[in-house]
Amino acid sequence: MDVSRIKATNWRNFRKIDVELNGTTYLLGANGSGKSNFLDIFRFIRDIVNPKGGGLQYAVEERKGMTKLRCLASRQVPGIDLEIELKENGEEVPTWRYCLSFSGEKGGKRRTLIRKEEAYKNGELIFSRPDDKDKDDKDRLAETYLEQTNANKEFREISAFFQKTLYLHLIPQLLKYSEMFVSKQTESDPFGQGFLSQLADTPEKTRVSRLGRIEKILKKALPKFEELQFVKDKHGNPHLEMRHKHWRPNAGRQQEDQFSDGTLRLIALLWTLMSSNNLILLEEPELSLHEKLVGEIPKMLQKARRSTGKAGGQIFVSTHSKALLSDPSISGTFLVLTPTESGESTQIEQPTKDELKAIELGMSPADILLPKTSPIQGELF
Amino acid sequence: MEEVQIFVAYAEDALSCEVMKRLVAFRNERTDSGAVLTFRKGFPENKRGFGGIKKQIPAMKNMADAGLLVFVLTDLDQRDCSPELIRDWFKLNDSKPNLPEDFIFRVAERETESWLMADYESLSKFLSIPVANFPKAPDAIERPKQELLNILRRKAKKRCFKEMIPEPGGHVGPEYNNQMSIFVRNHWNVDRASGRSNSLQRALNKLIRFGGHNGSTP
Ligand SMILES: Nc1ncnc2c1ncn2[C@@H]1O[C@H](COP(=O)(O)OP(=O)(O)OP(=O)(O)O)[C@@H](O)[C@H]1O
Ligand SMILES: [Mg+2]
Repeated sequence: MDVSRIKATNWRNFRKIDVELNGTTYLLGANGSGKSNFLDIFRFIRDIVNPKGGGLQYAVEERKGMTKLRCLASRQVPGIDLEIELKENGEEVPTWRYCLSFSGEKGGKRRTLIRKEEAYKNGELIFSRPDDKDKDDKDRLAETYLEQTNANKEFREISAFFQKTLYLHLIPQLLKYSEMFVSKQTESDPFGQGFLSQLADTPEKTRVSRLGRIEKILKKALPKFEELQFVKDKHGNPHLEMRHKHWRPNAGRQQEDQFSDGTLRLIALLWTLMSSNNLILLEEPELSLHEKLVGEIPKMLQKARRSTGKAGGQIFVSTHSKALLSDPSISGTFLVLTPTESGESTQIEQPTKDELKAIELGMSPADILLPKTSPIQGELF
Repeated sequence: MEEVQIFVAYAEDALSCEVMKRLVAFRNERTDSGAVLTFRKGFPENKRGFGGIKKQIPAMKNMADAGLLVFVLTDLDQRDCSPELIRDWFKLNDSKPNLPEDFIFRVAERETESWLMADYESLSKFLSIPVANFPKAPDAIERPKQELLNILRRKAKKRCFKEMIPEPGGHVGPEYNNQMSIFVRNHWNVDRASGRSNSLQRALNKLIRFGGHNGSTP
């Protein structure tokens, strides 16, 4: 099942979003154009359905409240609307459609309250809120049905879908020097501090097989690289270890705090692609990698999607990279985030017919679409 | 008035991109009938050298054949003549190579800087360097950018112009594109320059003819 369409009003810097999606989705846009904000829609829903203490209130508070979330440029509409369609491959009608509108409570406990919540299965309405019970008891509107296991029996597939969303934006320093950052490691682990525990929590057989595949790729990508292993130290803490060719026999191995930034990011990227059949959100996977490797990323993504034993696994990628977007194998949905005419918010443009034609005729998305995101005319200096 | 969009426009450097914009604006002022040429958002694009442009010639030719307007400006550099360059890049054998109508492919002889130095009066005034220091026959300059930088090395007084000079190992100084772009936008007399530079004159003619009559290709 894939996200086939997404609509939103007043989500962060977007006043309106309405895009249909197909295959891997690439998000292109200048710095600050809203690529991460777009990905955050999925993380937001994941926070709602997170069985360990998630929920609408949590998801909004994590983002510092409605005032931070709601589009500053919006005027009339008081709240935020989200609508997501999930479709089985090849089906006409989306299997699921889920709509959620919410806004901040005026006065009182200043919670976030649901204005509308609806779910459709194969085009038919399953429920619509507020219902009669909600009218009697306003507190109920602080919780979505989606987050309530006893209420969402009929549409649990939706929550299950989003629970498994993976977000990858590994910051090597956070992993290498975790002791220096007394950071709160959130459940969703956005920046990779928990990457090693994630490895540790994976059943050994799976882990060995995945690391074996990663090792093979690293051998090609890193000069002189020889071996990658998962180990636990005497305190039981998980580590990755690496060995290079031509090291003195007793030179020992390096642990992850000595890995290069690009090595760590590449390992995390490959691991993430192997570990999910579901939604994967990749933040600028090109970071720290040699251009040659960046150019391989579209192929990596396609292979991950097609690999055996996988139902698919939809991938969203935010990127600035020319190398990534000019790989000839690249395909999918390209979303170009550009400021609106008035400049007060961002709109999402899909390629025009001519732009698609040009790509078909041998130009790459990097040639045809990336220039549209250029923040400056001419040069900065 | 009808607009005809230049779908893709490429040049070898930031300065040539400015020149393309100026030429299109100039052309739009001059053509009283027909369509206005506009660039698609993000174009012209600086391809940083000719390699990337050359590689994309086949795809650009496909686009032009399919009716998407392509505009390329490149430097002749040390080649003999532009037909030779075109034959090589487009893999053609004819002595007078023909390109699709919607492919405006222009070669500056020998570099964009020749076109700018062709209006040496304005350039001399802009850079505050006496006009006697500038060569008077733009097509005869072997390495126009080097020539310009040499003049700057000898004569530039103001700091912003001194910063156009490259440090050892660099090709241009940090202010080069910026100052020259200002010149192109605000001081360069296209009429005067085209009276002295053949390749500029031909580029202008092609642009002016384009879409001049019925709004589509001539
Ligand atoms: N509620 C809001 N209303 C309007 N704008 C907002 C809101 N919340 C965040 N923004 C704006 O969104 C922008 C940040 O967007 P985001 O982080 O998604 O950019 P990005 O495309 O990921 O950029 P980068 O490439 O630098 O990572 C900021 O300019 C911020 O001001
Ligand atoms: Mg971002």
